Amino acid sequence: MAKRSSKKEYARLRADSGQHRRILAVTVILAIAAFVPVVLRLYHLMVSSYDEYSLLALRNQTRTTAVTADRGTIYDRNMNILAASVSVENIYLDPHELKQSKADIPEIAQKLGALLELDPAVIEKKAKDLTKRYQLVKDRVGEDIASQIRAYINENGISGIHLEPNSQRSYPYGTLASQVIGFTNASNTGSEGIEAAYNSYLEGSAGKVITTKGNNEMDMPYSYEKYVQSQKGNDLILTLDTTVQACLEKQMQAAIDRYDVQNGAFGMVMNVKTGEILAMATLGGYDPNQYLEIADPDTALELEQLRLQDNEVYQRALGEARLKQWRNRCLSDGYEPGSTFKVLTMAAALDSGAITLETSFHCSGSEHIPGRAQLLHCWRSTGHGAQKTPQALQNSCNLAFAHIALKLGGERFYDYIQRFGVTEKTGIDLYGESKGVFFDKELVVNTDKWGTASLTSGSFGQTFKLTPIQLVRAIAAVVNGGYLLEPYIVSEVVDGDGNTVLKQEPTVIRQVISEETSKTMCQLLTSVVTEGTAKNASVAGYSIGGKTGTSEKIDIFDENGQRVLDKIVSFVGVAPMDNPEYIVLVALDTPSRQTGIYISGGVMAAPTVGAVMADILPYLGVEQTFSQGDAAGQTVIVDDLTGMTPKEAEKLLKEKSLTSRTVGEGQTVTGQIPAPGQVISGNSQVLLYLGEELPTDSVTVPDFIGMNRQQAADAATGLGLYILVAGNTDLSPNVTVTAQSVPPGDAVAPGTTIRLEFADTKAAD
Amino acid sequence: MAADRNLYAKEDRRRFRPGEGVDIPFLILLLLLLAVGLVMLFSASSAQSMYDTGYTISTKYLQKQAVCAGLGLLCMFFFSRIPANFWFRYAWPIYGVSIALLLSVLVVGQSVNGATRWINIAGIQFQPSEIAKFSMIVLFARLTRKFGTDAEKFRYGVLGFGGALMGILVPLALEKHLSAILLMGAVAVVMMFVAGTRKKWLLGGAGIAAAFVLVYISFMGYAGDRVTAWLHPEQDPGDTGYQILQSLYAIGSGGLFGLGFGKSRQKYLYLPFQYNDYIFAIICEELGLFGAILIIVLFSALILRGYWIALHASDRFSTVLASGLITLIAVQTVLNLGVVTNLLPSTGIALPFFSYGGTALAVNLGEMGVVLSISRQRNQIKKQEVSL
Repeated sequence: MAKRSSKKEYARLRADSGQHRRILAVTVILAIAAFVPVVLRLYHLMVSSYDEYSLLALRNQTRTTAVTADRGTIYDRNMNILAASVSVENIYLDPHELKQSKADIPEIAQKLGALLELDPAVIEKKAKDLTKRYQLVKDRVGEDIASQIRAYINENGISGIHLEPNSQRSYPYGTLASQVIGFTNASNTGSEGIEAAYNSYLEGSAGKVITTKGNNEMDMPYSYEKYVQSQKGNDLILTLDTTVQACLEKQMQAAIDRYDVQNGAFGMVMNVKTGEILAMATLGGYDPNQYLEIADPDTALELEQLRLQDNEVYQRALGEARLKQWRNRCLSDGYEPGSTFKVLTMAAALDSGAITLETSFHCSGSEHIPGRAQLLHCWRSTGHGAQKTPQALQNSCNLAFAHIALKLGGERFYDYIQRFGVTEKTGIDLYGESKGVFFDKELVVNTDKWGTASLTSGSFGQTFKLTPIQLVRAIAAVVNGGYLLEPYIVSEVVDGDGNTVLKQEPTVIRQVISEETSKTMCQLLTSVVTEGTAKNASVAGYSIGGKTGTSEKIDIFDENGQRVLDKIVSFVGVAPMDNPEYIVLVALDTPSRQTGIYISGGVMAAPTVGAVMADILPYLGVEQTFSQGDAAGQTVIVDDLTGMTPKEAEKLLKEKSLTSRTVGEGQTVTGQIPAPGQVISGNSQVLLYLGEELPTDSVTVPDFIGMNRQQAADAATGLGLYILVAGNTDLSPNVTVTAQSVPPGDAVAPGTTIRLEFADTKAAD
Repeated sequence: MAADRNLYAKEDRRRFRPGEGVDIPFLILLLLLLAVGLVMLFSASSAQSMYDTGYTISTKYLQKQAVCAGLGLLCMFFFSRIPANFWFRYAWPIYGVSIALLLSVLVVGQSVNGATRWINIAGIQFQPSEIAKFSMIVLFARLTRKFGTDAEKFRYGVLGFGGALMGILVPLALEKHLSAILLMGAVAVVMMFVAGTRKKWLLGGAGIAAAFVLVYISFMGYAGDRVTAWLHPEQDPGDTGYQILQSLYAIGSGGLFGLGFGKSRQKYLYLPFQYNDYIFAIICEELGLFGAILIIVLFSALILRGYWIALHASDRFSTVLASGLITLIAVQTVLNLGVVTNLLPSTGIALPFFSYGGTALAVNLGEMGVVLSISRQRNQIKKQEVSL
């Protein structure tokens, strides 16, 4: 039966054989043949290229999240921490998770808003924005707040609030040396100063978390995670000394206040033998912990007013103000050095033999210099009269220096100046160094064609600019035996295990002048302080040398196109002069005319440097040496004399160059003024009470300002007060008190020591 | 005649007994594919479903697809009871209605992803193009039967079929429904070949169609990028090449045995259309080469058995109708696999029984019901012959 039916069927099929054959062909093609390339292709993709595609797929599905490496610590030379990284946390929300867990979003927004000091409405908006699974609420939240948030999450069992670790740079000293240290930006990269210059050492290598993640941050159940440890950055040890830096900044700030300095100040302290920078300050700085805030209150107030008026102008002004407060003027900005530059001209002239110490000059106040169209004026219009080389420097006589330059000649002058590094960057390991603007060689050398204007003006530091660091380095070379150094501020880079990665050694670039010339120059610089324009820089017990400078801002014009009369007054001091170790520069930009104080480096900058020296030299361990007549400048600590006989006490006091007077009739000392431990000047008189009661009435402090030494001493003795002499110790009546440690009118106990600062307020240049 | 009528009356009663007389191997293959298809759809769409529902539901797409599969099975059961001559008789009216529906899309259609292909009837959204495909196949089968050997003549074999084809293609072109045009064109060529249209005309026609497609692509622009993306997907991995690269990553990382069921990574929103046009890539990723080949073998077997039913149908109309419907499934399958594996440029053709899409699934199952009906008709005639 079956056979018959299949036969019948077959016959029926044959009737339509054409069509059936064609269907069979289609069958072969569509049911079998068409799948062959697909299967071959699948074999190729899934077997032959499996490795390639699975790698590509893995790469496609993995997310690499960087884990910030802890940034290295910056230490000063005594291992005080200047900059360190602190662990902080970023707070973010996952709106999907919040929604899924049916969290009370307004309540969360309120709580987070209160803890993080943010607007709850903004947080609520973020929490409800389902387009992202990562909504940053606040970054860099401190541990105390973060732990409160963590506690809140745990107590209420909230899912959807997350904390992730981040790091925050902290600068414990605040504004101290801020432009030198710099800061790190929002992405933890160094932006200014050492943070920028040594960023590659400090930043370390970021770690990473590699996770498989779905697109749109979907979590995948079958995921894989790998963690690559981050490598902590290297630590830096600076040559900077926070104590020295603080002294420098303190005295500069005092000068700014005293002389009403309009445009900030800059200064530095360098070791003349090694080129190590011990301090470098630009006042008008900022707090790197809040580097975006304008630190200067006046500028901040101006900006705030601008903001209310015109946002665009405000934004621009804000940007400029930030750049200004971040700027390290010691190396980024050139200024006209003025008379401080005469040190280099003289060193060159002496070294080359163009002049000797015996060369004579005559200054009549003004003179026509050959090859110079304009009449050349000396800063002292009445002239300095007949001078020899040392007096030329002591008087800072422009006419004498013009003649020195002429004797030296353009060729030699330019050669020395170039070798003093004036036309090149110092190579200091900091960010943003510029190199000032010096004359083209042609202008100085070819005096036949260009005249002698550039040569003569250049000789006394005018009509060109150099950076403070260039000047300091060059003068260091003058006093250190003639060696031009490469200044540096990072002495050592140390890795996490304490291994030294980089160690900087003093680098001598070249010898510019002979050791002999250097010695001569040291004597000359000392004489500028002892006899010349820089008497105010003297410090009791130390031999200080240096050179004053007062320069006009030749390229700054006011709104009427008139050259402004603003001045930068400066002083470069070196100590101790028998074996120079430290050089200190202080420059005050635009002291106000309103104070009535004569604007000059000698009056303003020299005492500031003197005060810095007085602070730092004992700290740095430079020994004091006192000559007999100098005892007044010496400070003495008063011993406890009670219980001694007046004889014994007197003897002891005499050893310390103190005198004594007894009060009462007893045989033993029962009380003393000043009290034991008090610091007073040498030559002071100590009152020994022999059984009598010590006076208890308080004394009103007089106004010492403007008194000379004798007047001040008399006033103090009359009231039973002691004075401590600081600054200029010269007994000349021109040297008067410019500041006192206790304000006039204050009531103090009898025998209190008042520190008085003396300065020659008539000193010029 | 009277005896005949009695016989048919008896048969009519039997016809409504479920499962009786239909081709069992075909039915098993079909249900197998449908079951595997639903399971894989669940896996492929779960991540998307979670994402869409804010991490609450993983079966959003499965639920809808399962409902449509149920409706489709009902359709299939119903159509398997309808004799082929019903379709023969109403070929033209059905054709007319489907064109009307296609045209209505242009007026009241709904846009999804920038293309207007859906209409809404009584709250149910569906694609009239799915019905148009069926109606064209039915009409072609009727014409084949009518033309007989005249199909060799140009006016029947080319103009006749061509005219019928154009009636469908023009509204589709107005809808910019390229994938449907491609599919229908391919099915039409196969059916014309079966009907007996001369090969030179078919080749010429295919050539003209290809030229037409090229012009279409260059003018419509939106399809042009697909060709560039096809040949050099790595040139623009983020944009035009993204889809195909993600598909290849999924397939390639499957290896021999796959990552395991449900363990696809690419389905976590990396591979777009992972639960419809590109579901096969997820299958490859999860089940590996073996699983992929197993599914291809299932399809191949279904198609083979389908053509076997066509070849053994009780009449010439049924033969052509069944072969046309099987061709539709076969062409869709081949084109989809070609696209997913980047053998062909991206076209937007879904994988039958697997891809998400309610109308397509229900209509496909209905069409398979028609094939089953044809197999039943043949089996009953055979039984009748045996009993006689």
